[in-house]
Amino acid sequence: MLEDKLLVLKCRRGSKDAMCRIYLKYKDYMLTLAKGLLGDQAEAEDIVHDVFVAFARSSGKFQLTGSLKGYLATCVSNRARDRIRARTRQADALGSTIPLLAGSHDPEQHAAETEELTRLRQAMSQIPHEQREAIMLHLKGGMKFREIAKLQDVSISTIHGRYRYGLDKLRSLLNGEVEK
Amino acid sequence: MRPAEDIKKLIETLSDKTSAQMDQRVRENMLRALAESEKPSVLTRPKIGRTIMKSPITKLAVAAAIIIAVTLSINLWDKSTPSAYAFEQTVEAMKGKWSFHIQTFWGSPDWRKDEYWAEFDENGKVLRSRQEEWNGREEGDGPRQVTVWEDNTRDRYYPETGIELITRIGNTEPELVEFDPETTVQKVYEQVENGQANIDIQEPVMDDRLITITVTYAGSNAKSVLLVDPETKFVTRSDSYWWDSEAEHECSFGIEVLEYNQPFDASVFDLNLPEDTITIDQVSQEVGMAQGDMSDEEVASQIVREALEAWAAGDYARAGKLFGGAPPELLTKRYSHLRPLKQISLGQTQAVEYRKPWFEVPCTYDIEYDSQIERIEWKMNALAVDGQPERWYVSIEKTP
Repeated sequence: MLEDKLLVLKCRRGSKDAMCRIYLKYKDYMLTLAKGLLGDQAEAEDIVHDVFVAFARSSGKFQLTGSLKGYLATCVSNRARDRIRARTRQADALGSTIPLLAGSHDPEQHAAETEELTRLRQAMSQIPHEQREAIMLHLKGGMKFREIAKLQDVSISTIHGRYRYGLDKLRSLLNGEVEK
Repeated sequence: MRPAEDIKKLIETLSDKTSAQMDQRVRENMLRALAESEKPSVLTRPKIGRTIMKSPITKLAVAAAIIIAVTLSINLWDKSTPSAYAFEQTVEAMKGKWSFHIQTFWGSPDWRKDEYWAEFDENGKVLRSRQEEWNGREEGDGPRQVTVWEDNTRDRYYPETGIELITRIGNTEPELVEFDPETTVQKVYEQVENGQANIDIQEPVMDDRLITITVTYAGSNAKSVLLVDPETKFVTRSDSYWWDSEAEHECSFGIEVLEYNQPFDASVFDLNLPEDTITIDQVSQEVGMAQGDMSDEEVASQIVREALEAWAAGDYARAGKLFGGAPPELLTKRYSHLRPLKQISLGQTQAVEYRKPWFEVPCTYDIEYDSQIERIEWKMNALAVDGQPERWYVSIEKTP
């Protein structure tokens, strides 16, 4: 936490080294989060790219009020939500019935993963985004329900509900139960 | 059957690594953005001078230019020429404001806080207003809440929960007055009059279009910068800076005026709610519970207990009234997963700092989840009802 604050302070003064260190520290964390939320490697990479570029652009005036990790996770989450909405709008415009998450994974990544993880990713793509968000931010983002609720400005109970329903649905999907 | 714990562990094993190409792309663009961010903007005008003066060649050129300029103009300028602009002109001009559309932000416009539209009567009182609270959310996310106020009624919509809360409030939220550029100007004027602040006026030179007023405060590191339109004398932007010693960084808060004295379309003051919105109306009906002889803490605890009991018993008419005038679907659909089976206990009430009495009441009770009984712990909110003196209601969400 202190290290992050120091890095942010250095970034505010234009330190390239500090900016790169922040990237190195959080790039995989953010990519995992983004891919978990979107299910698409290319889009997840774009989000991580956009978050860091936006962060660099505003670094001169950036003020860290909480943890940097939490801030970056929020940025990823917000941008992922935008992408989902854009997909919905696009699908609406085309009159398409394609699922929101097509799951166009990187074949190399697929090969490296176990079948179980691949099935998990497919199942993740079938649950509502709000539930996926609560699950990913809690389990992969390392954020507490209280923090997620505060960031999204909803009650802890709402986040807890989304998390529980999401896990429940994942369990049904992975166990081959029919979703209604 | 795969247990939930297995799925959690599986999710925790998800791990993606960035590729070398991606690393290169991000680094290049990130460092370019960092370099561009260091270029000074109009708002950091003082830094421009410092940056330019770092170069010895520029120093010489500037010195030469100053000598020429002074020599040429010395016979043209009367030393007693008064400034064409006086701050009083802005104080006076701002009184002619009858509508504004402003945006407020923390730190930089990237971190948008609120957006307001407001119309005023001839005495400067708010006739109607709309507030969109963004607090850092981006355009695609939509605002956290939208509020329309008119005729002593506040209509607020919470997009996350799909709840609309209508309350009777005689005055608008204090923020509107606080963020009103006229209030800022008036405060500065009074502080200057009382010797608590000094102002430095820089009139437009060359192609700079706006008058810059820098306000410094006696005995403080804080400062404000106001930008004034030289034609209308209206403040178009206000930035306040102060040093947060605890966080060891400079904080800033800004107000940007997007429009002055423009008539707004009626739709600006219409919430235009989605069809599935759940409306909690506290204006057209008596809601909640009378406080009677109970203290604030006692009534907070009592109303939460009764609301939970009514909900558990399936008495949605009573529960809805205690939950602030909520229709049954709030409890049967939106929050059905939180319906208590059996009330266990309530903890110590905790006061929440707010403009009206508000207490958080910790609750522990059983719910049915996945055909099993589970115990949950969380906090209900007991608040005074706006516009219904001595009455309290319970809110499930912390926001209303």
